[in-house]
Amino acid sequence: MNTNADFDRNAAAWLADGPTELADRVLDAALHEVHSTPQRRRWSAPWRASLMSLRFSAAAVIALIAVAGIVAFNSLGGVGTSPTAAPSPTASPAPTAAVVAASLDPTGWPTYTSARYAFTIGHPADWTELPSTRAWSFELDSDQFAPRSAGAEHFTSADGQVRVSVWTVPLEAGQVIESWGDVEAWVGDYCERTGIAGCTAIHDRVVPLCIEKRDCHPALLVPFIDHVQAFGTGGVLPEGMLVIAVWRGESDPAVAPYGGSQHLLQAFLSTLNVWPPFYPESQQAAATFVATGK
Amino acid sequence: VQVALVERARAGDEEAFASLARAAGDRLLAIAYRILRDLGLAEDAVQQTLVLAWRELPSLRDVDRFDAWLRRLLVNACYREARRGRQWAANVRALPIDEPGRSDDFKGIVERDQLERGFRRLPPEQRAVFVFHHYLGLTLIEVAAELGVPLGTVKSRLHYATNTLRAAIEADLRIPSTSREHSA
Repeated sequence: MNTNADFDRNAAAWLADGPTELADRVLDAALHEVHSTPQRRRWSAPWRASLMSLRFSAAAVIALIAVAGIVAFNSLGGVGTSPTAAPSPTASPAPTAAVVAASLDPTGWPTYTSARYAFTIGHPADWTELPSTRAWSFELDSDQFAPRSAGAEHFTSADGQVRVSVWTVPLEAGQVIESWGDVEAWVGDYCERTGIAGCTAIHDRVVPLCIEKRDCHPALLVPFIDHVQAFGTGGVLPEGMLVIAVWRGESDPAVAPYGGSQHLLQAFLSTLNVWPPFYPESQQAAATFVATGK
Repeated sequence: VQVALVERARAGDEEAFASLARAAGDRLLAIAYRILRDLGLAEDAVQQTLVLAWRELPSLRDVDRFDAWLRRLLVNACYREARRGRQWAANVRALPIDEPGRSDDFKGIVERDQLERGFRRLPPEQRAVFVFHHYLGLTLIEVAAELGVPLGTVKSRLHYATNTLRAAIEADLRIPSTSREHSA
């Protein structure tokens, strides 16, 4: 096998050799399981409509991101300022604004410091902490049910219905992540390797965030089918890619008291100094990224 | 016709989905086997894919992309199967030396055997790229789109896969060359 052409030809011939017909028993078993499997309802989130509209107008992009950024910032109470009764983006379960504001005001939240991952994060006072017992890794965690992974720091609500998990994933040697696009590419790879359902069209759903308002190191919030995760690296965050997940879908009733999983995640993120784009230049950059992917 | 079936299946029509599954089953198995190199694992991956496709079909926005979406689900299922902790099957198939057209090509047989062994050492992500490129005949740009990873990642995975396979072949060919010299 001396040439590339030889290699390609032999590889193609070798790959062509093998079974090409699915046994009836496999198809029958799959269809039998389908019969007892309900279809998942269509994903819908009101904020997606805003993001979609960003793709059609550069002016709208900047305006909407600016408004969204200010609203989101205010809704988090600005940590250290007085709590703000922000409307929930999902609204339909209709928790009262006062309840949402009280639940999402991280000002007085106790903090938890992860010795393993070297970060400090706040959580609601009545939530319980479940520390990790080992480091997270693709080898050990790709096939585990993530909310129970021993490789993450977990926080569970008082009623036991909501869990938030935080961990870091080591970056490959020499891997440079400097932009939202870099984070998105990393998330795509991570999504595949961990077997998360809903890895397609991630860019259509991402919400750009900034680690540190002024420096705006890149972070992304990504809703998946039944949960939402955020990813960020750089600035005040520890080495590696920090991942934080709320294991409930946006409109799951369990997170309605918090205004949805996205609001809850943003509240946790604010205690890590991660925010929606705040300054005009980062808002404009976020708008460009949403519209163009760059 | 397929678009209409996908629309009906997305709306909950099991018969329409069964038609789609029957049409796609062979192709899915062929791909899964070539990534996993184990028929049992491949069948498991296909079954998982079909069930997951049914469950998630309402989230498919572009029905014209059904085939690509299905292949993406399949690849993810293959990754899960590969990492489930089951040992890669060590059943390297004996190649039929006396098969017509191959009996006079000892070197080709050895190379295929080494391709098999080398391939089993690749991580599933590299296997998928290799199969999509060399078996499905997709360009690297198409592979990147189908797998939902950056083009650079595809190039990198194919590069490493190719190097690993070439190294496996070249290392092994050095050994039988001595024995062939003795037998000549």
